[in-house]
Amino acid sequence: MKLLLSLYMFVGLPALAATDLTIQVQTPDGQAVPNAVIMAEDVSAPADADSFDWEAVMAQSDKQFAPYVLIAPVGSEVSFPNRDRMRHHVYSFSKGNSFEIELYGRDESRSVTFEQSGIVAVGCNIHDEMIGYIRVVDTPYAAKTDGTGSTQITGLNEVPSTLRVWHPDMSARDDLIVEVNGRTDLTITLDVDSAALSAPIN
Amino acid sequence: MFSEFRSRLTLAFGGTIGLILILLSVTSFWFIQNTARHKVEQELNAAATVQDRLWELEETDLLDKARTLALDFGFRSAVATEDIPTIGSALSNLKNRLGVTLAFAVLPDGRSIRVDASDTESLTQMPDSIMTALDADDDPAGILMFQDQRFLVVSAPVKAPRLVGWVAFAEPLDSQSLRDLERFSPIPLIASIESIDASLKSGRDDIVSANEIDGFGGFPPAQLVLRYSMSQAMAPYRGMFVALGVSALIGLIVLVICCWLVARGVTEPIRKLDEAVRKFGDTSEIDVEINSNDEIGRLAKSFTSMAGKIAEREAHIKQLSLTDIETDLPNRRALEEAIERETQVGKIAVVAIGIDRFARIRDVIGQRAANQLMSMVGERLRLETGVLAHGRLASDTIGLVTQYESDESLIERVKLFSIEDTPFKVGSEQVDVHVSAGFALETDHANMKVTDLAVVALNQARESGALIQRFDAKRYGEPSGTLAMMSALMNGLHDGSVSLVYQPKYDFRAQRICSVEALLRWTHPELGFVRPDEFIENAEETGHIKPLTRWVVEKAIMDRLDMLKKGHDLKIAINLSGRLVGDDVFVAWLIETLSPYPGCFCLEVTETAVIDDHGAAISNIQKLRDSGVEISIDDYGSGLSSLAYLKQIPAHELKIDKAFVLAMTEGSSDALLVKSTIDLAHTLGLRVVAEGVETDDVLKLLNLMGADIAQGYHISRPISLKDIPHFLDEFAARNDAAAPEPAQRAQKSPA
Repeated sequence: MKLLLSLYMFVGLPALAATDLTIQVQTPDGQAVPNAVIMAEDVSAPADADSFDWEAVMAQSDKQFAPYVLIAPVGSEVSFPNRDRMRHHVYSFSKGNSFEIELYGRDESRSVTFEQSGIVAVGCNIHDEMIGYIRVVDTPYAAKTDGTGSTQITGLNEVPSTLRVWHPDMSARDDLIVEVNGRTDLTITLDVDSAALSAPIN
Repeated sequence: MFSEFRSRLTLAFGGTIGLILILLSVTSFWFIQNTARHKVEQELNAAATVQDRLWELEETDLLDKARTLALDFGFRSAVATEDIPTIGSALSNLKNRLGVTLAFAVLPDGRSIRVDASDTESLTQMPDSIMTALDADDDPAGILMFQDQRFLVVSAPVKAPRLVGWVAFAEPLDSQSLRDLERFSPIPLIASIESIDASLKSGRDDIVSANEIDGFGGFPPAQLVLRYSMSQAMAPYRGMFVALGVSALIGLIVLVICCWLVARGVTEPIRKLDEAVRKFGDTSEIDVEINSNDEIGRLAKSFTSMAGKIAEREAHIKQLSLTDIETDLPNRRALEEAIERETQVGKIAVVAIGIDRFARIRDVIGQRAANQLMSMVGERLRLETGVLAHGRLASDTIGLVTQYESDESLIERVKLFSIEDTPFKVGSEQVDVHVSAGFALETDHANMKVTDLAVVALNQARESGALIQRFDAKRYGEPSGTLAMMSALMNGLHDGSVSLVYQPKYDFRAQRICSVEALLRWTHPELGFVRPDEFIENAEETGHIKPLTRWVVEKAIMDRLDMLKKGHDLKIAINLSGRLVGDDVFVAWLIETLSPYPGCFCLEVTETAVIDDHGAAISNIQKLRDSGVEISIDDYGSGLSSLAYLKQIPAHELKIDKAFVLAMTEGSSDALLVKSTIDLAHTLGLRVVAEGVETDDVLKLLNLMGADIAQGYHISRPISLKDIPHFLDEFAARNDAAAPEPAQRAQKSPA
């Protein structure tokens, strides 16, 4: 709190009032980009399990991972319930977070704990077309754009100086770092595969 | 060579059809070649399609293998975790299992695990260009040119589940792989891979098909080129071309031979005909050996018929040329041909039978009947013994070719000819015919035709009053020299070799020389003295008598004047040829020339001259007489001495032929004839001159008989002009001494 206060004082912003960021992500030609993950990292609050208002669940439904993109805090346990009638063999070779859940059937659920922040690409060994992403973050301020490409990060103590932006289908290999410059309403342009625009949003 | 119709015909036909044949062959060759090329192109296209498909299959097969590997869970796991040794071993294992030459596993950062043909694994860095191509992933298979070698490259992304790398297989496109391609082809072709920029066209030698092969990723595409050698494509047709060429050649040869034979068939009769026409032109022989029924055959027949008619006409013309048109008897030419013919066979003579006084007969019975008569005479003569041929020689003369043994037997035979035995019946009239005959042998004269000799002999017979006579060369003289003689004579008129001499005539009554007869003398420069009757007769024959007489007249006029100057007035008698008496023009000249000297000139004319051309002669003589020229009838008694003519001729004088005077003695018959002639002449009022007085007795006798004038050697031989004065003086003196008695004269002259 001290830090917050000192920051607030430092930048001269009105103290003690929680800050919300409204972010719009779009392609260079103006299309809304859903499933983009926006992370505010250089803020002072440590992330914990309860900081996100969504469940750490990545289900398999209709031979698809749902949601397509999941934001999970470091150290959280993510469950992989199978809601399909067939069995799935869920795996990930992502560095530090690799796992393999051998065949399990309908309504069975397994869970994995991700101890390292980063990207976890999740696939099914039986169904090649199934792909889902879990972004393991070490900040409580992260959000995913909805179908209109917009999202909000609420409850910030301060306006971060930069934002980290990631999308599973973006062209760049590394996360996009966006200078905020004190704005609370941002429009971020992100180059993504056009296929990503029609990806399931949930 | 081509001047011959046959050659030209052969060339025209053979050339034209040969040209068509060659054209056909060339067209066939072209057509076959085109068809073959087209067919080969089709085959090549088919092959190219197959090749394309094979290529695709191989590509797809390779691609499938790459994809299969990319999906392998263990492999994916190794790649995703960048477990290099595991990737290498998995790659090597799968490479061998799939039978791939080169295999790569490429990580997104460009690192690449390579397993080559010898299973050697190595870690390399992929060039950016290939990384870009892999990243693009829009064409995971295609041609790639790398380090000067072409590869067929396929790639498959490795997803775990997101992209973690690539699997790439590469097959070097070495010659072996292309040979494999070639082996699959149904036709023998050559496959190669070339740059897309290479311009490829089917040429003369090759047929080319090119199919584009995609480049790998963004790499430039290449083309799969299939070549088919044209000569190889044409190989199956080579036999056909050879057969075509050989058959065309054989066809051409057969064609030329056939054309030549046909041309020969057509031209041979024409050639024969040409030859026959030429032969006909040369020899009039007809020799056409063409028996065909075509146009040529008909032409040959027409030619034969025409040639026959020409020969007939020729014969007819020849017949005409050998026939006397008036009498239908063979003519002189026919006779001459017969002579030539018969001379070869035996000894012959030519007899000229002349119908006496034919002119008279013709006048009486007419020309047509006279011709008919001649024809009948000829026909009768033809049938006589020994007659070989007959023909008309002159209007009144028939020539005969007869066998000859001797003159006597021939004369005997001719005398037995039956011409005079039976009269000829011409129309309604009976005509008695008398003939004279002359004959000659070819050997009788060197230069003259025997027919002419026979005619001369006939004339000689008539002259001598013989019934038949052989040609007398001596009497005839030298006819070939006649013209030369006349030419010399004419020259002589100017150079003095011809001269006049004068024979004085003694006038009984005046008892002196009061006239002279001019006589010609010619001393030929080579022959010497030429007898006057010889050259005068020739001059008469040749017509030179006219200038000769003219010369004599003019000379006599001059000589008379000459003598007159010397005091001698002499009348000059000039002989006038019987041939000139009837010549009106000449007579007119005489009158013109002599009329200035009336009574000074006397023209002596023979009785026969008057008889020959009776009417004209009498009238001309009358004209001369009227102009003051005296007329004397010469040589009276030697000819026919017709009293009727004597009465008609308006003469002043009668000259008794010397034949009577020469032999005259008192009491002889000649003397009686002379006496009675003198009396007769005196009765008719004519002066009488006696020629041939050679003795004094005759002179005296004539004086007694009452002759008016005497002429002869006893008085004087002919003397030259310059001698006349001397002679006259001498004669006057002699005469005075022995003058005959005028009192004894029996009768007085009425003149």
